[in-house]
Amino acid sequence: MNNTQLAKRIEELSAKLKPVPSEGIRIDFNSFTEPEQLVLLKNLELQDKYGSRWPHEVIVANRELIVKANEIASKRATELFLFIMPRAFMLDEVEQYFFKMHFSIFLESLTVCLKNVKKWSEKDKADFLRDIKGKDETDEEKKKEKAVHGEENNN
Amino acid sequence: MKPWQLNRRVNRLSQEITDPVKTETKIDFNCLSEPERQLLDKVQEIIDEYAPASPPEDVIEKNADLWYKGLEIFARRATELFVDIMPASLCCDELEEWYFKIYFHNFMLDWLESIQKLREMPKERRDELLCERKEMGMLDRLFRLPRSRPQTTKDPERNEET
Repeated sequence: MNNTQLAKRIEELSAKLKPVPSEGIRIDFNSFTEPEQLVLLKNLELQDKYGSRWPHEVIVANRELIVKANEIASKRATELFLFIMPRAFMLDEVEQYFFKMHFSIFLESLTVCLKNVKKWSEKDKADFLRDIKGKDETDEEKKKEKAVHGEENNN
Repeated sequence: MKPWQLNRRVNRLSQEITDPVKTETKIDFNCLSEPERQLLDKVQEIIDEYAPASPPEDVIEKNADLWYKGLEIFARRATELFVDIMPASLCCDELEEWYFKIYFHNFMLDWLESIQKLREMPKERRDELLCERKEMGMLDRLFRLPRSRPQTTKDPERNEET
């Protein structure tokens, strides 16, 4: 099978898979160790009880459980991502090295960035968000204008 | 509760839940759409047919579309899960989530660009690169590459370090 034939067959498969909406993705609960499951179940219990509005005293009383559950979830999601991506892209040894390197740089840069963003005042954050949203809206308007003028579809 | 108190309590909890039995992280199969499941079932059928050995080359060649699509599903879903869980786990607000997405997007672009360059490289140069990295013991080591910091704000004085 040559590359064109393969690409065509994959496109056909993509078309078959496309119309089905996804309800989000989860980690298989059985993947967690028993103690991890207990921490997560305790969190789910609180989630069921208080929904999205947890009283302050409940948060304070269960802080370590919340932090630990978040840590478990992020560790597992990262583990899965780092396991699947090199295999899915069929990376060899050198390519895996570059994958790990770029991922490590991403995490480090993100950590530095979030640490700094946390220092911003609420007002600065709100102003900046407004700027971003304003820019997004302007971009959307420009896109619409372009579509009207036929710039995007080469009409 | 002070941060050090919280740390102590989280550490204590970590010790309590440390399990010597390591478990593999898997995607919940029920989250996949019906067509995705059917495709992965087909791939699994082929794998099972030849297990414990790998399926022969010609069988893989014949079903290459299923193989590649299956890998794409896993990669896409693992990415979706990562992008979904990480900002929530880090308790990111809207702005922090925005930065997370930007950094992740840039990581993917940088990485894919490097893979493209590596794959265009002549085999000899690539082997040389591998040898060099191995000799220097760098394959298992990571380091920070110096690079220019992105401009993350309209006002550099306000957030100089970001």
